[in-house]
Amino acid sequence: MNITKSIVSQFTKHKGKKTDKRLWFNIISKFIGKLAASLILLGLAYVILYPLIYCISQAIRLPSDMYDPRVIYIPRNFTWQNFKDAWDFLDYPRIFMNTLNVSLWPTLLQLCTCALAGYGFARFKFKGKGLMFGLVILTLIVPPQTISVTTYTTFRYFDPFYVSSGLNLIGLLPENYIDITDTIWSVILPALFASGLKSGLFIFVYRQFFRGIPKELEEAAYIDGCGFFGTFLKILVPNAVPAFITVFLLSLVWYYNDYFTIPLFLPQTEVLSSSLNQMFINMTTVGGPYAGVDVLLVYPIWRAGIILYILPLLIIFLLFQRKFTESIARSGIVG
Amino acid sequence: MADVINNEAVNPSENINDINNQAEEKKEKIKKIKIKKEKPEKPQKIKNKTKKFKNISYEKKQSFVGFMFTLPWLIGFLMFFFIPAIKSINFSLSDVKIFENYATEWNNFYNYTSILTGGSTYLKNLGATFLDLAINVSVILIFSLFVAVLLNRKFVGRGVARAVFFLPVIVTTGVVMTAFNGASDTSAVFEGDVSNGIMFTTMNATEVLNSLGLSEQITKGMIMVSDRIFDVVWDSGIQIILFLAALQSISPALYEACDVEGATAWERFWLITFPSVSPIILVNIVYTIVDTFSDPSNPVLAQIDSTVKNSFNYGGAAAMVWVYFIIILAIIGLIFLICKRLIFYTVE
Repeated sequence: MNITKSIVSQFTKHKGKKTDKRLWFNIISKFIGKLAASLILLGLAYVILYPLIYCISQAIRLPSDMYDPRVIYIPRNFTWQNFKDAWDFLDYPRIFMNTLNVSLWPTLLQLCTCALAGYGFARFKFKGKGLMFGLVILTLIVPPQTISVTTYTTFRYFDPFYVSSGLNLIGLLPENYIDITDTIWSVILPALFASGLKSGLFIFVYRQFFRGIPKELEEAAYIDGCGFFGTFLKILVPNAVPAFITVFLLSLVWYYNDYFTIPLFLPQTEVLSSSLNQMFINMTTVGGPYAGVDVLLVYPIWRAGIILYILPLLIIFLLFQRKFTESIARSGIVG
Repeated sequence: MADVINNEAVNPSENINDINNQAEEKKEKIKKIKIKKEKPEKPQKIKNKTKKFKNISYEKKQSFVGFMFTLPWLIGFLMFFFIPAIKSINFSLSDVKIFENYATEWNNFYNYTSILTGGSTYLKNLGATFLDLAINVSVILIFSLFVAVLLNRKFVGRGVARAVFFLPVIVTTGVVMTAFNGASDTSAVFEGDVSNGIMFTTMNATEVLNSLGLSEQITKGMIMVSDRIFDVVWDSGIQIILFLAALQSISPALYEACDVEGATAWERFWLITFPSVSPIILVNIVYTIVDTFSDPSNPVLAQIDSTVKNSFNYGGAAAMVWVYFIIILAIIGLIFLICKRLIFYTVE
């Protein structure tokens, strides 16, 4: 009612024809602008959602529907069988637990150690800080492929600061190295020392966020007799929850999606991303359960596998979506 | 007479003003004096503080604690970045014997000369990757800013729209991307075009555009961009978020001033929005470059991967990676130099 009243009052106020025309022009141009904007957004949203919708539509149909030219999106015969087949073929529960194992622990470690480093870079002055932060940025820019092979050799003959050699001298180790490839340590150790997957980015995010927290809070804590680490735990961590959420989600998702480093360092451990990568080939090659079957009939099962892979991500995303985007906006990457 | 009275009436008020001014000046002087008096007190307070922390000076203690906070990272950097990087440089300069504990033997820059001398596939792949990079960066940058501006407007269902555009950030992975890219396989089969397995390609647009009388180069360019729509939309999730955050941090007062002055939407964008988000443009350029060139599916990295996995030529692969990295570093440095002049910082 108020809106209509205000519009009417505007019309009655400006009785001159020119102002009238201008008002109408404004209203119409605004309407057209909004229409165009929403059409563009709708089109782009379609580009994002189409593959998902198509995937789902193929996954819930009977394979025979693939031959039916009448079926494009809505299948004639619904079935959950494809999901069951994909579940069995992937050995989903076991592989999912594997994936969770190699993504959750490093994520949690990274969450803590990167926060420590980020706080160190944000608040304290010490010699070589500028150089060290430059090196953090450098680790961001260097592609992981540059050092992947040599990192592998480092893990294969793991001898951190000659500790293994020393233990060998004492007689505690049979060789002067430890082979930590194919053990979870090859993922956990880098994360423990804030050098895991994209750690540089997380240190950067934390640093930016901690710099945005007023210094007076810490000074008050110091005056009240709180130590440096205590202040960090009691004052800064509770205030940096958005940064922690951002880093947790991004790190978890990147570890989950990673199909480069984990297959390299843990070749024996089957994880979802790499086994999904090989799923279609494994199903259809000689010796596979669907060897010789028409490829079209295998598609629905493959699609079901893809959905099973995306599903945990989608659930996380839907749960945290609002907080996630809010926290990215507030993480001060911008500043 | 009336004038005189007026003068008299004016003069006292001026006198009053003068008196007021004088009073204010005195107050200010007193304030200054007070501030001056307070200043010497401050260091004393800090001294009191430092007494609580044993006898080491506050600065030394602080620098030590700061170093301790970053120590885990430093150890990790040395163990998992620095040493592998040195090893990798060593690999690139020598013959690597895989079966003798990766022993290395100096081979007089053979790895570098073999990949850089004429007609090697590596140089072709480099060219292809950098062309890809140039197109990707420019298209993604413009696209993500455009979408961020649209998402920043108020409209019904804004939350849902934002969720949809951030979806790629979570879901994007090479595995799912290849699966999605092949998602139109079956429809292509029914349309009689088996070879076409890539999402949202413009099948017959070339002829349409040519028949409109556009020159071939323009149509090629348009098709090159429009064929990328799927990759571009799926790769620009983070960039959209960053731009959106930057847009939301612009003070509304600036836009109000714009409205009062009667600026058009076009002027609003170029005079307020664009300068305000310009620092983020640099961040996004660097992010997009890093994202594109570390994508394992690009030609150079695919070639490196195959040299490692199929021909076990570790030295050659290391040389390829370092040449690639140095070029990238040079590009990023160049962009920094260019952007330093163009960026407008509101703070500082």
